[in-house]
Amino acid sequence: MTTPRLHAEALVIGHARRPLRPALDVLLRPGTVTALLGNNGSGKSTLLRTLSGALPPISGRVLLNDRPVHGMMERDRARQVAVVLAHRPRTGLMRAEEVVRLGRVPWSAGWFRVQAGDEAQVLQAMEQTRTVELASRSFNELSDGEAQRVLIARALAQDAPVLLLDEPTAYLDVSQRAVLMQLLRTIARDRGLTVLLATHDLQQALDSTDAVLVLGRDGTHFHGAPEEAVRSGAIAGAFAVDGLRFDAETRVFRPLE
Amino acid sequence: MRPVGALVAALLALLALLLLHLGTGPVAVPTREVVHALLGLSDVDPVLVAVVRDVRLPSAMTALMVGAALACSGAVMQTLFANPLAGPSVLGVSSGAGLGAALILLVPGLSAALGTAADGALLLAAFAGALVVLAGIVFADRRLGDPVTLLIVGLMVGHLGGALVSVLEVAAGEGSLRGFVLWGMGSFAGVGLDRMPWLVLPIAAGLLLALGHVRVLDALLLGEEYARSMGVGVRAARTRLILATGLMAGASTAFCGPIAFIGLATPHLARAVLRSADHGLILPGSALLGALLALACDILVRRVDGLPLNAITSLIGAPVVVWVLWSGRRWARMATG
Repeated sequence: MTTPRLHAEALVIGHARRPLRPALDVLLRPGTVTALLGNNGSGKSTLLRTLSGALPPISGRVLLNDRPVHGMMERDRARQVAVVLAHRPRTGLMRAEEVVRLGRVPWSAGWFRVQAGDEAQVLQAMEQTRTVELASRSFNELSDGEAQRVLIARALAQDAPVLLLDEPTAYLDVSQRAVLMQLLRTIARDRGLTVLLATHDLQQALDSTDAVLVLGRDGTHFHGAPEEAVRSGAIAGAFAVDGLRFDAETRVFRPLE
Repeated sequence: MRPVGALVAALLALLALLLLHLGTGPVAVPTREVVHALLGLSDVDPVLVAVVRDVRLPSAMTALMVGAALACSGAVMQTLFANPLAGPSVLGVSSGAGLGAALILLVPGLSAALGTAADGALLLAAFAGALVVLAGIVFADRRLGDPVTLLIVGLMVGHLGGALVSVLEVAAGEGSLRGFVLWGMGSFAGVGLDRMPWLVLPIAAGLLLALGHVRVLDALLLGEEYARSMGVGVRAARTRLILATGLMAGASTAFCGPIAFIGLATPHLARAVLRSADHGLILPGSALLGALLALACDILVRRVDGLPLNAITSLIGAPVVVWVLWSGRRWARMATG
């Protein structure tokens, strides 16, 4: 029995004091990958940004091992939550290895840049994401799949127990997506990380995650096993469109006959 | 090039250029006698000792410090604005400092009324001018958020400053006008030993402040949101870094005039030589290269009597910038957003 890592408690998310959806209560456990599903505008990115502490909640709290995320010092928070953002950053001349090493920034003490253990963390992160052979390549010249793995390595080097990813598979081809999801599951298990990733890739999410968090369009949400999300109709409800029905067998939306 | 090798090469080049600089001028002094004069040996003509130590050494030191300061502030600004074309002169900082200096130098009777306080007032006014422009740039940056638009705003601010200076020039007397025109050509020669602390202190403070943000600047390369996720207090860091660039560029411009291109071009050279984006290498590397370039330009100025420093730095700097845009595929990505 493991203790919950990330706990959204009566959490209301939104921008500029305008709530996006009703209060949310979610517990995410260590060692698991949870997919965050929902239509555009359902609040996936807003939820991720609120959980990471980048955006204040309108009400409610986000607890990390019982400590409120939004009350932490910035550096403290960076040691608890690492993120992979949706866009690919422009990095000038940076080599892949230098990008990964940036993950050590929250652990560096001012002028003294290299701390004991930094290089070990960087190397481990690159080994786990299979990016060691990319180390001296220019980040800008990497393929999207390679760049995504490097960005995940950077987040891992941050050595935070919670990892939040905003559509990490968006620009990847089918095989790269499968590779990345498998990678995330292995890493989550090995490191005991709590991983939450927003995605539009329904099938991939249902096939290869431990749990799904579905943000429905009527303000409801579902959190549980992927099979349960399909069986209970949470998926069908969240993505329902006139003229389409969700086929629970094949997990695909089909036109109504 | 390996950082250690590059450092040794740069230091050796710096020493060679320094000796060459001290020997160059209306009176040529052989290198051996330059060294002896510096060491205080008594076998050198006292007049030559005075030329080397009291006239040329201060201007060489000025060139070193101002070159380093401009290059370092350029490197900081390029990261801060995520823009490879950012630099003290392009973003209007030099114009702001110029306007401040013009207020002191050109308003009739003002510098005479200030008397001995004129030096301090010049520095303060130029520094304030630089900071006002930088504050405006930061404000515009937060509103627009688009590097290309920001560049245009910077250029417009520069023109505006230039226009205001023209207005002041109409009101100014013949004598002070000449002073300002000379100031605008740029020169490392005007800072005597007595005024040196006014130049050294702000530059040293700015350099130290910038070097203290090496990690923050690295993190900012990934963008503000990533930097924030890595525990960087982005807003406060931006303000401190702008203060650092303002200290360095403002003080340099106040005393030596608006020196073109060193701030813009040198960081690109440093990145190309060191093949790195790591600010722990790029900031000291830019400072060293900037010092080298400034010294080399000043040697040319001394060789050809009456040549404006600004013309030399532009002749060297402009091709470098073009070369960067031409060959820098990686940077081009950044330039075009």
